[in-house]
Amino acid sequence: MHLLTIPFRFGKAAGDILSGEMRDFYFATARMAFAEPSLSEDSEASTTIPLSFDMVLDSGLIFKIVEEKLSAVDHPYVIVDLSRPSEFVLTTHHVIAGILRAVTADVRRGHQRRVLLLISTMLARDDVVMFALAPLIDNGLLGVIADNGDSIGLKDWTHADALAHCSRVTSINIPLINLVQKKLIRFPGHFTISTGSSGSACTNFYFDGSLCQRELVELIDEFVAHYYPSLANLHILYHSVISRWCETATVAYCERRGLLSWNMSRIAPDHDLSRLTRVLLVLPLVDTGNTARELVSKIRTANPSVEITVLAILSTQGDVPCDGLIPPSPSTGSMPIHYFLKVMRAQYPPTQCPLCHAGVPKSDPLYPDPFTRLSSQAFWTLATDVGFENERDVPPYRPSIGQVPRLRTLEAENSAFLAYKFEKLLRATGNLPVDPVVICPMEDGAQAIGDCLEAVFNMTVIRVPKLVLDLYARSTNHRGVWPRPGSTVSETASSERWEVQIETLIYYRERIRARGPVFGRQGSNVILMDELSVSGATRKNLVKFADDYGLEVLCCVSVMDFSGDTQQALSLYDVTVPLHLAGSS
Amino acid sequence: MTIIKENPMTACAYLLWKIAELVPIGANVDPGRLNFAIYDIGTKAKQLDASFRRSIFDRVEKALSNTRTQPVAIEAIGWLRTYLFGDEITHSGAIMGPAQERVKPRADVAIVTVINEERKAVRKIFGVDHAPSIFDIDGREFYVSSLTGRGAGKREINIYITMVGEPRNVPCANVCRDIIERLNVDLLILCGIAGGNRDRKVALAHVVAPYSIFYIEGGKSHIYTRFLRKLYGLFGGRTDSIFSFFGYLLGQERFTEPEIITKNMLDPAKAYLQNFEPENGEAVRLCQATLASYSLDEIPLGATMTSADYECHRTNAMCGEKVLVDDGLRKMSQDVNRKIYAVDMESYGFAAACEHSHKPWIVFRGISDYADPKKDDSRHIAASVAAAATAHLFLRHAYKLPEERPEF
Repeated sequence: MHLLTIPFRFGKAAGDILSGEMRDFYFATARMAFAEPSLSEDSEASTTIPLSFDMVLDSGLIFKIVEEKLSAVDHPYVIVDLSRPSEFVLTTHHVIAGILRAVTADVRRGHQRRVLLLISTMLARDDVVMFALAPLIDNGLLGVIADNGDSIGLKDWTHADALAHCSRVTSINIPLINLVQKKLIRFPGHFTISTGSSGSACTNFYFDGSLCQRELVELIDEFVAHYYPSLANLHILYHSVISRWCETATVAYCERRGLLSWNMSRIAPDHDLSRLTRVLLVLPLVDTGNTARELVSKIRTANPSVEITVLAILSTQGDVPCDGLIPPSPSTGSMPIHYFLKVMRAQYPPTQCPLCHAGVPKSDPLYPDPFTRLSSQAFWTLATDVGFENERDVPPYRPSIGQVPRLRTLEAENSAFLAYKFEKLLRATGNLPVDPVVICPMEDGAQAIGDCLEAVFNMTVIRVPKLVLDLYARSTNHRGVWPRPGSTVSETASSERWEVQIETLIYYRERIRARGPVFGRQGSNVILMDELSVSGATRKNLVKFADDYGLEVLCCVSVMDFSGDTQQALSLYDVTVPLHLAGSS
Repeated sequence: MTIIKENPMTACAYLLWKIAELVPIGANVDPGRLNFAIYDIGTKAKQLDASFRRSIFDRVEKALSNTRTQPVAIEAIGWLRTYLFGDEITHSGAIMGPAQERVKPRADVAIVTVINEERKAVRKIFGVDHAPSIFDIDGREFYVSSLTGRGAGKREINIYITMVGEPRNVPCANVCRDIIERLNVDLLILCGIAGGNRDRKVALAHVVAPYSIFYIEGGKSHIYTRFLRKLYGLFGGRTDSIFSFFGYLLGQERFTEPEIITKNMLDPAKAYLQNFEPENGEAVRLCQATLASYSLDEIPLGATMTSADYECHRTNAMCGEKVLVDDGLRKMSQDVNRKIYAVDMESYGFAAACEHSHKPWIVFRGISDYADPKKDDSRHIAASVAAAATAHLFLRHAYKLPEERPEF
C-alpha cells in the first residue's frame, strides 16, 4: 500500500526537498486517518510544490499539476497538504477547486483512491467550498483534517487522534518562541525610556515586536492556559506607552478569550481597580523593574487581596534566554516576573549618555527607522555592539580591506532588522516582486538574513554553495542542467537543495507562462543577495549563475558595499575603502 | 514608496563625533576602527559641495591632531584629502578653491539667532548643546540637528542652527543671504527675544510669531511722518497708489514713504503658522525641562523662570534700528498698526533677505521686556527658551516638508 503525497507550499515561488520530518508527519497522519498501518513510502514524492501568486489564481494549473501527479502513479491513498507554511496560509477557492476537479476526474477514470486534504483551519459548514467537497466526502473518497485536529469525512478519527495530530503539527512547526526570536526587530538609535516615576534613561536599542504579534498572542494564550486553569474573573492589564505591538497582541488575545483589558498607561487616575481579584499584568519589556513595582503597588493599593501575575514579553534581566522567571526582589516589588525572551541593551542615565553629549537627536520609537537604508548612526551602533575584526576569507584575487565590523555576528544578531531593511529597500526601489526569490551564496551571514527573509516575509531563498558559484564563474555553459522540455520535476536527478529549488522555480514559471500572461514582470525574476561587496566578484558570479539558468536578475543587494560603486548594486550601507591602504591598518 | 536617504551632513556630524570618540586621550588607538571611520566619513562627505567637504576635512584633521593618532591615521588622512578634493590639490598639498560645485546640502530648516543666549536656548531645545559645530560658512559656525518623531511615514527635519553675532538688520540679512546661497534650505526661522507691547496682552516670556513685519525707520524724515505712518498702517501697500493719485492730481512729486511694510501671507510657512496651535502643557514642559538644564550662574538672581503662563501670539511685529527703552512702542503701534505686539532690530532684514530669494520665513520672538526704562537682561534666557520651544513645537506639529505639502 503506497501513499502519494502532494505537498503544496503557499507563497513560495520554488519547490524544495521534502524533509524527513515532514515525510514522517505525512505518513503518521495518513496511517491514522486511513486506519491503514501498512502504508509505505512513495520514493518519488520528494519535492514540495510551490503555490506562487500566479498559481494560486489559476485553478486550471492546479488541476493539471494534481492530475499529472495522480495519473503518474496508482497509489490508493493520497494526501494533499494545503496547510504549510502555517502562518501564511489562506486556502483559496481556486486552489481547492483545482484539486477537486482533478480528484473527480480521477474517480471518473475508475480510480477509487482515498484522498486526505490537510488545511490549516476548518472551513465553515455553509462555505461554498464545503458544498463542493460534500459529494466526495459523502462517497467516502475525501477526508479533511485541520491543524487543530478538526476533521470531516473520517469515520475512525477519534478525539485521541485529533490530539495526536495537534501535537504532530506542533512538532513540525517552528516553536513559537523561536519565531518570536527571529521576528523581533532590534532597532538601533537613541531612545528615551521611562524608568518609572524616578525619571528616564537613554538606550541605544528599541525592540519592536510588530512582526511577531501573531506569535505573541499564541504565547500569551499558552501562558494563561498554563497559569490560569479557569478564566473566571481574570482581568488583563497591560502597560504600553510606546510599544503598540504589545498592546495589539494583548488586546487580540483578550478578544479571542473574551476577557477585559485595560492599558495602565492610559486609564484615568480615579479608575476603580478595587473590584479586580485576579490580574495578569502584561509588560512589553522589564528593565529595572521600577514600572512593574509601581504598577503592582497601584493595583495592590486598590485591592490588597488581589492575585497578580506579572508577565513581561521581553526582559533584560533573568538567567535563561527564554521562558524565564525573574525572582522576587525589592526592585520588582517582591513579585516574580515571568518573561518570554531575554534581550540585551545598554542603558544610560541622561547625564551620562554619550549620544546625548554628542548631540545625536532622539529617535522616535513609533517610527524608529525613517531611512530606507542604514543610517550612519544605525550602522555604527550595530558595528560597535559586535566589534571589529580583520576581514575573513579574503579571496586570492584582491587584498584584504583590513578591519571591518564582525559582519557574521552583526548579521546573526540583527538578522530581523537587516531583513526588514532589505525588504524596505527592495520595496522602495521597486524591486520587490509578488513572490520574491532571493539567491545568495551559502555563507553564515547571508544565511541568517536569508532565514529571516523566509520566516518573516515568506520569501523564497536559494542558497548556492560558493564552490558552485566559483565553478560557474570559470565555466562557459551550464545550460545542460536545465530540466528537459516536457519533463516533470520528479524526473530530474537533482539531489542538492539549491538545484531542486532552481529547477522547480524554472519549471513552474515556465508552466505559468505557458498558460498566458503573468502578473507583473515577465520572466523568472530573482534578487541576488550578498553580505559584502568589495570587488564585485561574487556579485558577478551570482549574475553569471543566474544568467546560465536563464533567470532575469531584478537587482543585486548587499549588506555592505566597499567598492564605492553604488550604480551596479543596492546596498544597505556603503563605505569607499581604498584597497591599497586598508590591508595595512 | 519613496527612498528616504540620510542627509550626508547629519551623517558627517555623527561620524565626526564617532571619530572623536575613537581618539581617546592617553590610551592606545585602534587603527583599524579609526581608519574605517575615516573612510566612512569620506564616503559621506564626498556627496557635499567643495566648501562643506573642506569644512569636514578640517574637522577630521583637527580631531586627529593628537600625537598618538597622527602616525596611525596619516595614510587614511592622505587618502581622505585626495578622495575629497582630487584635482583640487596642488603639488604642494594645499587645497585650492572649489573646482566643481556639487549639490547644495539639504537643510530643511535654518534657525538664525542673534545673540549667544538665543543660540544656546535653541541648541538646548534641539538637543545639540554639547555637540560641536559641523561646518562654518565664512567662519560662522553651524550646528546640525534633526527633528524626528513627527509621525509615521514622515522623515526627520534637518535643522541647521547659527548665530549672527551682532544686532540689527544688515548683519542678519547678510547671514540669511549666505545661508540661502550655500544651503538648499526650505524654511528660515529667526528665533530670539524682543520687546513686548504692554498695551496688548503680552506677558514676559510669551512668544510673538508675526505674520507681518513693519519697518519704522525707512525713507526720509517728513513733517507728516506720524500722519503718513497712520495711513500706511491703515492701507498698507495701497498707500503708495493713493499718494501717486494725489501727486498726479496736484502735479507734485510723489511723497517719500516714511516706512516699508513687509507682508507675506501667502507662503506655506505662514499658512502653517495660522494652523499652529501649540499646546500650553507641552510647551511649558519643554521650557521647564530646558530651563532646568541651565546652571545657576547663567540665570540672574530674581529672574522669573516659570513659563506656566506660556502663550503664542500670532500677530504683527515692528522692527527698527534703535533699541527702544522709552516706551515708544505703544505709541508707534497706535500709529502704525494696532496688532503690533513686539519690536526687535533684525526681523525686517531677515524677512527682506528671505523674500528676496523667495524663501519662506518665520520669526519667533520671546518677550524679554517691554522696551521701557525698566528694560534689563534678566529675562533673556527665559524668553529665548520660550521662543526656541515654540519653534520646536511648530516644526514638530505644524510644519510640512516640501514633499509632504500640496502644491501652493
